[in-house]
Amino acid sequence: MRWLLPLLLLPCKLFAQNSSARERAEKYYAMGIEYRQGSLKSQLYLDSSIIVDPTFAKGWHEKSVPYLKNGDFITWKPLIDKAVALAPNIHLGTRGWCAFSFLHDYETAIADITALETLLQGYLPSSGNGMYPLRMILGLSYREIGNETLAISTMEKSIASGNRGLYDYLHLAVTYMQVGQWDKARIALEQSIAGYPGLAENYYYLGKYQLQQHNIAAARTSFEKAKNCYLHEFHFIDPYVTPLDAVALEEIEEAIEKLK
Amino acid sequence: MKRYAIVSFVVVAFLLLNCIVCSAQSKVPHPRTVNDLPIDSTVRAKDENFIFQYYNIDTHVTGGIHYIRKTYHKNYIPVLENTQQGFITLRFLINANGETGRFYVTGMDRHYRPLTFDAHITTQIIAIAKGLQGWQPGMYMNEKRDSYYYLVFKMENGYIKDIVP
Repeated sequence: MRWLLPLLLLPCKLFAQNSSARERAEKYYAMGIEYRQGSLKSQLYLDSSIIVDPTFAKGWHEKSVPYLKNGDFITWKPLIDKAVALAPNIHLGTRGWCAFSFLHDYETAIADITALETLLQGYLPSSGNGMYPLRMILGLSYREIGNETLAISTMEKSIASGNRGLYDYLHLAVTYMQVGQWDKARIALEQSIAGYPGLAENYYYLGKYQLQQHNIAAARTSFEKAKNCYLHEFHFIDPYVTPLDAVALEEIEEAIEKLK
Repeated sequence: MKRYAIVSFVVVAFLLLNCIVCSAQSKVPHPRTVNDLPIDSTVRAKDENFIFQYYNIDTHVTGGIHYIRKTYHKNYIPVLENTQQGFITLRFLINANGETGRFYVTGMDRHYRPLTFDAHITTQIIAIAKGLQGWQPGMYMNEKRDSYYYLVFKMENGYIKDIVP
């Protein structure tokens, strides 16, 4: 019951400090994130932060995070909605990116990211984990709902903006392949390989391209290289989710097997 | 000062109530972390006091989501008369030996509101998950540990349209 201590101290702290509600919320927030995310202590401190200052968007957001990561989206949603309502320029992109990543809820992702784009007058920052420009997430969402044309123009605009993610050219190449623009797919794959030469997915999709070109020997070499990269270098990975266009080792092995 | 007294009273009352509700939810030691699953007889955890989340320690299944999707594609029979749309989350425990249990289903519609899906769907989803093989428990301090995992099924008219994460 040691965690009861902060509760008992709470009134003392409130009386002792002649600080604003926001400053007290920040203090409780700082205490909350010192504990394991989602733990009782952490959540209680975060509860305190939003009770002393209900307009503290950062507290609402942080309280929502463990529910998201644990797949409790029913609890996550009203909490993140509160953060979005209080600070849309910060949390709209987060909500859209999370809906995209954790649920493949492309409709919510598109609605949130386009609303953010309007709010920021055309600018879009990167996703919360820094891996993706939000415009790439928007492009991928368009692709997944079947609007490949808008997907490609959005991805091209994202790359042209200079705000680059590690996998931009890979996603663009896969999208070109889906609509049969094979020459553009090859060029995008070459750019992806130039930027990230040890990535297994680059060679898996290059092998797919070469198969389409009936270059079986080159495809076999590419799939073998993909397997080697997967086992000894890099593959597309995220600790929480399986990213779009990521390839499993078993898929690479199946591709090799088919060419035997 | 009076306002501070009222605020502090509300805060303490709220937090104490929170504690009472939490402690009443299940037997010791739950819930230490949000979304802990109630202890049952389906699987024994190595350490009930500290169950990780899959992403903390890289708990995974051999073949990844590719294997999971293939298994559901092969075994799930669509419920053709169903018209429900939304998401089903299946949360479960993978213990330090790679055994699974404590399967817990929640459903929600496309607006993230609770939705109870047809039992013909959810019973299949649980049964197929119980048959998944090759769970690799994550490691912490060179030791295999228990962790929670979840799968989300994107449902449309009785069909599984997608499985994440």
